[in-house]
Amino acid sequence: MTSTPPTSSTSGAGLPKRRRGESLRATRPAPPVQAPAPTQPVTPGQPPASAGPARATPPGGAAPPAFGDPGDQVTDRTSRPAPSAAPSWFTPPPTAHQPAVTPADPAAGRTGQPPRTDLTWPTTATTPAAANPADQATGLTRRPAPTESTSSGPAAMTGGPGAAQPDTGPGRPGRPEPAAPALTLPPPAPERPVRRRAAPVSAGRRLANAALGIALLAAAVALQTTVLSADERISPITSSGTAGELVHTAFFGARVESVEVARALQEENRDRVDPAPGQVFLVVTVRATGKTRALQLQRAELVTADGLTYEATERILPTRTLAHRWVQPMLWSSGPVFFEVPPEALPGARVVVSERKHALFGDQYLAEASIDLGLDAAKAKAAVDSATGVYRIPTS
Amino acid sequence: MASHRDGSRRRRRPVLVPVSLLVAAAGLAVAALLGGFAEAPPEPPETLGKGDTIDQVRIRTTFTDAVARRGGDDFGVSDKRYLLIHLNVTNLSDETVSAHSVVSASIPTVRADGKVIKGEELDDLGPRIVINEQGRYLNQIHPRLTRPVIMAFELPPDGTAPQQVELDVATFEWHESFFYETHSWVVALDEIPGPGGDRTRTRYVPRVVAKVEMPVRVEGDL
Repeated sequence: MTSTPPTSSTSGAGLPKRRRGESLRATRPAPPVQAPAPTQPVTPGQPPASAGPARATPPGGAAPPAFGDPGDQVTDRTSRPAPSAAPSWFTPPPTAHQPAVTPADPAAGRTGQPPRTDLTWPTTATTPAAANPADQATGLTRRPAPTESTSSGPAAMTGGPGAAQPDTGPGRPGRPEPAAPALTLPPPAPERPVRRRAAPVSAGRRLANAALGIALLAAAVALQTTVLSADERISPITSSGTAGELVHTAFFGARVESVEVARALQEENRDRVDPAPGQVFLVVTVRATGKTRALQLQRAELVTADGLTYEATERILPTRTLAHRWVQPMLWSSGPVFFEVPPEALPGARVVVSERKHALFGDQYLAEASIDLGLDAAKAKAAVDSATGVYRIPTS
Repeated sequence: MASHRDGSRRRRRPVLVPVSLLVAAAGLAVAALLGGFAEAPPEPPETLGKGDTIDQVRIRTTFTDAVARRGGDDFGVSDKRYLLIHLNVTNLSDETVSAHSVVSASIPTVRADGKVIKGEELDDLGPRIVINEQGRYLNQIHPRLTRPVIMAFELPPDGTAPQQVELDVATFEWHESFFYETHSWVVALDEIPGPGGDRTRTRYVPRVVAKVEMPVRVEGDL
């Protein structure tokens, strides 16, 4: 029967073309943000061609949903995407290839019910296998299979005793439902991609997938251990090297030229300087050049193999050491650095030189050169044993 | 839910609720006996004397002596009088420390015969804290080394020397910054709420973990 109002003659008219297999939701036009233009209610005998401007959208264009009734309150539901397989209350735009069908029932052609996308949209489980082409040709439509949760769809269209009951759906409070035609067919289901059943996965593949997933998880957790701590983030950027090698940093290059152990230090015209009991002096001569600007390598530390940090000794004024030499680009300057250490701290020790960071201004991410002195246990012992004399500090 | 009428199953006595109530009541009774849920008062600082040693996490300090003497060749100026507190300070941390900074921070208050001669209420530079090595004043204490440190107060030119000194000793802790999550050595602090619970006037003072009382030995002709 063709008693179905034209509102439900949705065979894809007004929708963008989509290819087979393409998701229907993907091709659905974007919903208008504001309320759609009020449309005239379709009265019997009046073709819906005289509907509002929204109806004039050609098929295939971004047809806004034409369900806005002036009396209907615009809710968030109206901003949802219009269902392509519109339910019976939807008045489609007349198209050239589909003649408008005058609704047999005066009330059936009413528009103005907000779309119930989630309710009347045929779900996968309730969708008929495919649209009947014959139905499309005759204008016959199929209703979506009524579900338990649908509020107004079945009552509006079955024409049964429940048709006149007020709809208590959220979109239309208390509005009596118009009488529906006595017999309707569910609208044709939208064309759905045929889902191919996936090939069964073998047990070995499942196992491999699980192992891969666990390995990825473990790698993600292991990567977290490489995250720098807050202390490491504010510490200088270290370039490492060995004695005799020019160690490049972003701001300077430094090379350890000589490493000596001394029992005492002698500055010209000054008293001899002795270390504290049980300690020796380690004299490291460093040659350095700047990269971009002039700087002073005022911080010098000896880091032992077990992580103890010895500052350069205060027994020698920094004016005699590398700390007061200006290190400039394209120029080489060298100076000694003096450490006062116990002899057992020497094996594996490194010397670290850098600029001194100022807490308030200047570069907060300084570069430091960490240079391995190349002293193993035997070399350190030999150096300590052979150190008998007094190291004379050069004047320059 | 239907009740069990199965006679074959032995009916179990419901004990869980009574027993847990008993346990909770016993716990409350014990807590009440031990002083209730109020915050326990802080442990009183231990009292130390001459020659005692205290571990302050970053350093370890031995209070060797307290001497009142005139300046000389080895220390100070000969026409001035000094109160010298001798300490042996061991650097327990992994890096070189400055004797002045660690000792000054970890001994926040010094009293001589009850009168404060070092404290944050005094508007002065505080005592001189040095390592005196044959008249050469040094400041570095390298890791794991013990150096003799002198805390020197200048005494007024007249009057008698104090009989006793009392030192408030604080301790260090390896503190993580709340904002930056970086770590540094700080002196452990106590929060002193402002008058009437005024949070804007809350003060933080070093937590005194020990009080050291030493008699002052007068050396030479003062």
